[in-house]
Amino acid sequence: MKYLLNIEWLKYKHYKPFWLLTGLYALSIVVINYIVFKINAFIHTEESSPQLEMLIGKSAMAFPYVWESVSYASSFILSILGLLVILVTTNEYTFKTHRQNIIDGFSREQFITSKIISAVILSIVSTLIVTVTAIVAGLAEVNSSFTLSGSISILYFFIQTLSYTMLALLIATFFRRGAIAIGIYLLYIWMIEPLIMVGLWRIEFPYAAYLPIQSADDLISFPSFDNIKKFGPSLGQVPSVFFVPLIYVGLMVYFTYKRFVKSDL
Amino acid sequence: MNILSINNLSKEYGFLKALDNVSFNIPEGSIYGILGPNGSGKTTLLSILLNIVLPNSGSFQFDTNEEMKDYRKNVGTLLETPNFYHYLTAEQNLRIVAAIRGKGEDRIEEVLKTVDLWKKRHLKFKGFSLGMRQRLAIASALLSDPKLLILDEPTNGLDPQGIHEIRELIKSIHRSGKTIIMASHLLDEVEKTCTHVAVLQQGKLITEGTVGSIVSEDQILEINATDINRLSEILSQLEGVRSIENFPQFVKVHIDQSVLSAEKINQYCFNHGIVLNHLRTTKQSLEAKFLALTQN
Repeated sequence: MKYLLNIEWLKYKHYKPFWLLTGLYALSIVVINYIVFKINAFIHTEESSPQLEMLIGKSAMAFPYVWESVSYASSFILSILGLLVILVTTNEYTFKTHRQNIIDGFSREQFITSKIISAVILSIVSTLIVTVTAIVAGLAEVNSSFTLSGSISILYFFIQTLSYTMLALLIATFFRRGAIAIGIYLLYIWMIEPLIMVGLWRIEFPYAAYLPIQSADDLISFPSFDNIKKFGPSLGQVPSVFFVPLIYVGLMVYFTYKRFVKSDL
Repeated sequence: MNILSINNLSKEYGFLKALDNVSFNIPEGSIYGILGPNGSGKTTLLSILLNIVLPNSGSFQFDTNEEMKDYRKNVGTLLETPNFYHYLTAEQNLRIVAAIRGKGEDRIEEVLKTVDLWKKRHLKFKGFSLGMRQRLAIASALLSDPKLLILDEPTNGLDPQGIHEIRELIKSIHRSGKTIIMASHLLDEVEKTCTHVAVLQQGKLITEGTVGSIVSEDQILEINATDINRLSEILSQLEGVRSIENFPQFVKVHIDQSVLSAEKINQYCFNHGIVLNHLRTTKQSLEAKFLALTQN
């Protein structure tokens, strides 16, 4: 494990686009949450009327809601993290270093495990950034005091992040070419899966929300308007459970691993 | 002793049989040439040995006293196109190789000096010329002081200077007691550098053995006498003569060594009233042998 990590580190340490994209991702999390924070502060002034609170709910940036709000807002840019995974994986194919690493003595299992570990570490780092952002936002909010209550959202965010990074790794391993992998990845998240879901709704398939990315997205919602949501139309969804996306993550890792170990390089 | 045994390896790409039941052994300390035209399966064979292509059937066994899973860490490899991280410098790339092999970190300076890239160690790989890339690949292959070196068309695309350098390097590595496997489509290269050769065509092993044994199974004689036409005529009636080619200065006779020799021919001609004024034995070149083998 330390052996694999050291080699991955040597590959990325001096790779500027990697650090640029990582920095951009971290910055985007901060910026998007800052915007939500400002909008929230605009609505929830100190003299907010009780009627408004009835309608919208408590301040979304106050503990305990801030855990869920920040996780939710940050999840919109998870595809950037996916692009990072695609970049470092397809680079190996572009430079044919996936072959060279094997020739130099890596086993196929070691190579693909090192890539899976990289994706997990990026997911952990991403979750840490979101955690710190949530704490800072919660503490900055007026009438808010720190509590771990509701921080389960951070765990859900981590599962969601794994769904995005492992899908990226799977697509990169199957399609190998950077531009093609990026295209298919974004197309899947933004178009293919939503279209499939709409199609399943139309035939009144009850488990339409159990698609790989949708089921992960559904783990977290924005805590405002909870009172209104209760009266909203039912979309025929079944409650999302956290093990559904975990099963998908497991399958993605399995197929990524199998593909690399069992095919010609 | 054999450093590598190859047993019944086959690889198919759809309907194309890239390798068809190939078996042979590579003796320790040899320079083993794998010879064949483009598309004969040479690179497929080496790719299987390096675990980047999986065979459909068959197996191979390295005897490097190492555990099988780690054998590649003791094999130096030089492929047609060197594969390195373009965004890293020569030194950073070698650090990754050393990290994967688990040794050689302390030899980076030495090998970079060997291939004359030490002064350019801080330049990024993407700015390297083809010759520099090839030299970095050699440095990388030498990094872990390998027992076995696998080379795929090592002189392809290099200028005469580069070709000469690589050949000298191969010979010096061989002198230090290492085994070398080398794929090439250049007969001349194999004949000049190798001790053993396996000839592949369309994925099939046609022949293998020492270069000497393959080249000298048949012999070619250049013979001349005053009456060259009469000479040609009586030779054509001799048992053991496979073919006769007429040249203005001599006739070229292709003989079966198990039946005939230069001495017997000389005696035979003398008995038929012809005195030879020129008799020269030449070994059949690998090129002639190769063409003869692959035309069947």
